[in-house]
Amino acid sequence: MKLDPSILARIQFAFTVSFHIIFPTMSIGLASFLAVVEFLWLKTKKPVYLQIYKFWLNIFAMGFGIGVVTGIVLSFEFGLGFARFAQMAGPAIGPLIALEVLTAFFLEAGFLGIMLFGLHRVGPKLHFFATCMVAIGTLVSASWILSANSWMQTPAGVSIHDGHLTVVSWLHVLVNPSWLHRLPHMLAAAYLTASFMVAGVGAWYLLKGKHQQFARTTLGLGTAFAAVLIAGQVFIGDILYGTMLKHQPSKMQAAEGFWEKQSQSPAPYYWFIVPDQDNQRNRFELGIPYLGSIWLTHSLDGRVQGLKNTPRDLQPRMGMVFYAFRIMYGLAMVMFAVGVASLWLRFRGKLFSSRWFLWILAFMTPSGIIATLGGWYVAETGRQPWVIYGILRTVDAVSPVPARALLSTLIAFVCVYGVFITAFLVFAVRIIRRGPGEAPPHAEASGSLKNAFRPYVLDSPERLVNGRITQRS
Amino acid sequence: MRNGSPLQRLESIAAALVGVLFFFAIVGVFGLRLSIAGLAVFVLGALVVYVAFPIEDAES
Amino acid sequence: MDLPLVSACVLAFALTMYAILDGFDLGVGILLLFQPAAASRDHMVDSITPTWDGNETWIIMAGVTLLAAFPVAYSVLLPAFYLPIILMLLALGFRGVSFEFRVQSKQYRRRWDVAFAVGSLVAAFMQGLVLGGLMQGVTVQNQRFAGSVLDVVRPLPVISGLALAFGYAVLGGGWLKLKSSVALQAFANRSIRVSAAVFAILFGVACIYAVKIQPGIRSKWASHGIALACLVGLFAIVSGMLTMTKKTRPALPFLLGLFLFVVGILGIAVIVFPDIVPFSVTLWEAASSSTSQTLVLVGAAVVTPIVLAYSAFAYWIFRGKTPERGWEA
Repeated sequence: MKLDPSILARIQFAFTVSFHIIFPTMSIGLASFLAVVEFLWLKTKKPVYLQIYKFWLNIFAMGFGIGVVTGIVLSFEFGLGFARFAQMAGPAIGPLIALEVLTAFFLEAGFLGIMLFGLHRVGPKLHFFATCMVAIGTLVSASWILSANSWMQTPAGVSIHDGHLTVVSWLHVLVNPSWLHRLPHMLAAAYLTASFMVAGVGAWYLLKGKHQQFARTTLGLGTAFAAVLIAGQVFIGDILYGTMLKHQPSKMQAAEGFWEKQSQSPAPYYWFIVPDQDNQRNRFELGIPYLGSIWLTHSLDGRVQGLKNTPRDLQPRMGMVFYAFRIMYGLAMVMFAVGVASLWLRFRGKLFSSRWFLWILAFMTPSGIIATLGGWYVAETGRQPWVIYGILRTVDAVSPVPARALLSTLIAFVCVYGVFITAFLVFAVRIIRRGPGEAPPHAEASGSLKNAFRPYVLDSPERLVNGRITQRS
Repeated sequence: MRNGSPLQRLESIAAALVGVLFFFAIVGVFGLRLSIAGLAVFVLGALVVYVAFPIEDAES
Repeated sequence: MDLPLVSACVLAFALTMYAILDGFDLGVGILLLFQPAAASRDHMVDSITPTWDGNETWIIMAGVTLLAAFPVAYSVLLPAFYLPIILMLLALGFRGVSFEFRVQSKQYRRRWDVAFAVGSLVAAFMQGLVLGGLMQGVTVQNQRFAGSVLDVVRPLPVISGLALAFGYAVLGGGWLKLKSSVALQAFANRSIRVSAAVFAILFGVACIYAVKIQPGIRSKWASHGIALACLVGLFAIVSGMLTMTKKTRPALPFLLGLFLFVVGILGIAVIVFPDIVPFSVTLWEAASSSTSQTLVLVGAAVVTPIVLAYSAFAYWIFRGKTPERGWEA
């Protein structure tokens, strides 16, 4: 069996990076959520906020850990799978990622220990500072890596001499044409992910009639942020669409499902297609009439540009880009509807008593993650066949590593990451089932996070009977 | 929505349509200016709701 | 100013920080395999839990500095050590998630302990494998890797892998002596003694074997014989001291272990310089343009002191003996 190294390298990277992105997306959102909650606790002294903090800290810590170790993989995987890309792009994105490590990774890592384990070792203000530092670290980290990836999408600031890149302007490398739109888009995605996660869990508790105060507060907070965020997200998404239409037209052409250079007028908005890339047409297509012209050309009869505008050997695979985009955009619309509904129900005073709404929220718990994955698949598969758009093709960027090695390590990754996500889900579900502020059924062990299950108000010098928690100094 | 009177149902439908209108505006169907304006009004409206209609049991 | 040289120093600094800091982390993990008492194992993991993440970040710093400043070397070395690096990453992954997962389940904690310990051991071994492979030499043609991914499955890399595992165990034992309760002191002392002895022997064997198979190393001994002999002598003396660890001052073995590693790294630096891919590609051949080097250096110069400051602060927060009942959250 003849295996193609470049396909295997792509699959491996796609797998590891897709898996990875789930966790920083959660971490960025939850870190800021935790900072907000801890602030509210410090300000209002209400125990429910500490309860919320400790509950979500548990899940945050697990996700953060997986994010770190899967992230380390990526920093080496550039070279492992795509050595030619690393050699070429190293001078441009290498320093950006180095600065990410220096200004963000170390910051998060340095203060994470205090955040997770220092509640009784440092005063509340210093602990809050630590939480903020971790939240800021995740934000700064996202900024740098988005710049590096945006540079791959819309390269700028470099000159090329026989295969070697020299950076001529760092300002243009960093602030490349798409960064300033993609960054807020990703940040909003992360914050939306956390908002729907906490709201969804809160809704679930309300449906079960448990942990009323905890649930109402988290649902209230989650939906409050979600409504505002989704409006901003949809706004920035549309702006970003225009930017990408200008700099990577092939991506947006593939995203909409039209083949002809000029679509019919008025153009429908497709929701389901069976694309046939070899014959440059759709075997089947289903869409809402007029909506394509309305949304894509802001008129009632505009024509949309199809993928045939791009030469065949430069076309991305329409199937992947189209469906990834539809998943992301479809979820965005549902999120917007949920946001509007939450505002209306608040106005009517029925936010917690509308069971249909609670069910929707519960189902929407993982929606942010799915939408983010969809968006990233648009970004990465839509950029193909380029790895650095217009400069280096993916197939030319692969490492001189035999296909067998790539395949065996791909299988290893799938197995190992499978264990990680299974454990994460099992434990997260267990934490959610147990609920906030309840002692675990089994006995003690090394403290670490287990003690987070106990609600402990820092101000009162509480001591447990068996003397395990001592008075803070 | 389950036990609402016909008037309340009508109000909910109207609210939903207003929501759709906001969505169309924000994604730029009516141009960039109305897109920004739509976003601003939506966010401000949300903030007003949060302040003027605190959640049940006023636990915030 | 010779930018590639300065970048090489930054790279060496990052690697040294990693070897020292994650060294004792991984060492503690390896020692878990030899600790039968579950409560003691918990205590050992507790001693490294608050600070492991920052420690591990130094390897990303090293890798990314290599990418930014010496992209040719990055693109040669990573495919060359494809298998050990991926195995190391997976092992580090298991170890990292074990921190969080092992406390979630009493039932499976033993299994997560094994994952933690084996992950630490495999990671350490793979790092040593890469080191030995570097000394052995990597086949390079036209600035691309031209060898086989299985070149590392040879005596020198394997011995180096074992040596490094024991070396980390020395650091781990030293850390435990410093941080752990009275109950573990005897275990810590014994670990240091045994590991130091084995480490020294394996290190010696590796050095001799390396001289035998790599002409580049022979010529370095010829030109820098005195310096290398001094370093070897120091190494022997310090490891000798470690094999006699008793109930001495708590911090001494750990500091001696750190010193041991610094000596070893200096020796490697003497041998490898001026190459970045030993005996094939020099620093200057592999370097990126000065604009890239400058940004990394400026960033490193400005930010590293701050990083060191708050990292030290984090260590200070968790100073003293690790609490026996763990970290009350």
